[in-house]
Amino acid sequence: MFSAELFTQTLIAGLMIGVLYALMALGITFIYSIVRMINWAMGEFYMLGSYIQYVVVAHALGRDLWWLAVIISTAGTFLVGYLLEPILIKPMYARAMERRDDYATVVTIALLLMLRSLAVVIGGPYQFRPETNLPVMWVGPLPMEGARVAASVCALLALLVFYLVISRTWIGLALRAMAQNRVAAQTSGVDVFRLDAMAFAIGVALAGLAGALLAPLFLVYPTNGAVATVKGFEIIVIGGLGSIPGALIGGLLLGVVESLGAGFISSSYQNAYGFLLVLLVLLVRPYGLFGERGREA
Amino acid sequence: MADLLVTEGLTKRYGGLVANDGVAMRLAAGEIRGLIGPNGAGKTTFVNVVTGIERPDAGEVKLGGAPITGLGAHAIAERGLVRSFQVARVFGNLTVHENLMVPYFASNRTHGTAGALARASELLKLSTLELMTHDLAKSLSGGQRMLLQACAGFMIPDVRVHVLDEPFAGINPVVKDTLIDLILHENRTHGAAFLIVSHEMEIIRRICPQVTIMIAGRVAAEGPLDEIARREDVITAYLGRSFQ
Repeated sequence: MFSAELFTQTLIAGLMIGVLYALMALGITFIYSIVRMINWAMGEFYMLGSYIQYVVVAHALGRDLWWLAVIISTAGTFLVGYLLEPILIKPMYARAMERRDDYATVVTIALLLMLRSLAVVIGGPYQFRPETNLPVMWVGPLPMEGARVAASVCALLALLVFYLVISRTWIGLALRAMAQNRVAAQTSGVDVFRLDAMAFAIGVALAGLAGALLAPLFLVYPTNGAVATVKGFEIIVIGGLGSIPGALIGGLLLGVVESLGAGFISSSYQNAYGFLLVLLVLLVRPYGLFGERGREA
Repeated sequence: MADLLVTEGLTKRYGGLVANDGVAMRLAAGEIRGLIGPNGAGKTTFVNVVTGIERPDAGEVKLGGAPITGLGAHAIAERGLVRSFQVARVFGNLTVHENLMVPYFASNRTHGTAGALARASELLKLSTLELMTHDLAKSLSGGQRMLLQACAGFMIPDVRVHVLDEPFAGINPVVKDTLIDLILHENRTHGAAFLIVSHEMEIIRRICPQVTIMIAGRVAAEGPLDEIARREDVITAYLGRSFQ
């Protein structure tokens, strides 16, 4: 049975989760554009963000200060990324390396395994749920968990801040320049290694933020980043690798498609609808909705 | 005049090929020097090694007496040695104006932005790119990109040496003249030295009192172009040996 009201509700729910998907995809695409590598451990930074959120809420701040915990989780993930990049990723550029992609793949998959195992060692194979003080809210005609609404609003805010930093600050200008031409940026005097670390940290912080925001809904456990990674890469294929608008639109699109599929077809296949979308996009535009066929030299 | 840029015994090998074989060169402050040589003589390799794009296998590069061998490209740019590329490397999806501001902000000088903005508009006027200030750089022609690339180099504060790799290749005569004027203006008003790699002998004759010629990875001769061009070994390198 189809009604306009139900359709609107499903659409809104899809857009709300889509913003969070977009956050994840933006992190992947941003790191790819600047550092020229795929970070396969992205989901583990999501996981890290969710664990920090749980620990801070449960053991320090309490549920009323969940929003402060979100900020701490994001900053914590940023810091971990900023410290790890020079150790793990920088050697890829500092030494003349022949197969950079392979190096990055091996290193980030190793990081993925290490972080997951670390989570098991420290927290055990259990599920945790950080609490929030948010009541059920009404989004139009739709009752929604407060945490879900808060997650969408915070994610939207984060996207706005990200946009302002990239478009208005000089670091943003340098990052955009670097994304377009690394060597030219370097010869213009841009310290590309410092910005590599910065970009990597910003990218993983976006994942950490998504993890912290979604922790009350999707729970906290060692492999909770796996789904986030898969969704992130689905969006990258849909939107086009290296495209920031692609990550945003692709995220929203995936959220809406999943939500509509679950609402009107069957909710047991929720994760499959996204893959159908991926197949469709690959058939029509193999380089993604916003991707370019080739990069400008 | 004191030597500003000095290389000694600079050597770069690619496997068995010795692209640069003990290159020694001295560039004085404020000089405009031409670097010529037949294709494959190692000119671009030399430029890459001097400007930190590649590491030399042996030898030393000094800028103003301080060694800069093996430093990263951005560190070398910071010390006042800046290069341009044969295929202009501009940031296609930034505007012309943003392209000029990247090198300025990269120098970590956030004060005096007003001065930088004034300088940017001066350079845009000199390079005749003024009307395209807010266009994306990818909409520029090849020659205009060359001009933009050169201007971007001039935006870096306190540059002492500009190394231009084939700045005149494949661009139209009007843009060529604009670029020459720009180089001469920069040299006169800021005293910046230039090392210009080019095959355009007319232009080299016009603006470079001294040229260095490289043949097979070595410096073969130095002096005024017309003097060098008469030398037997230089003619042989360019044209091959006759059958006589």
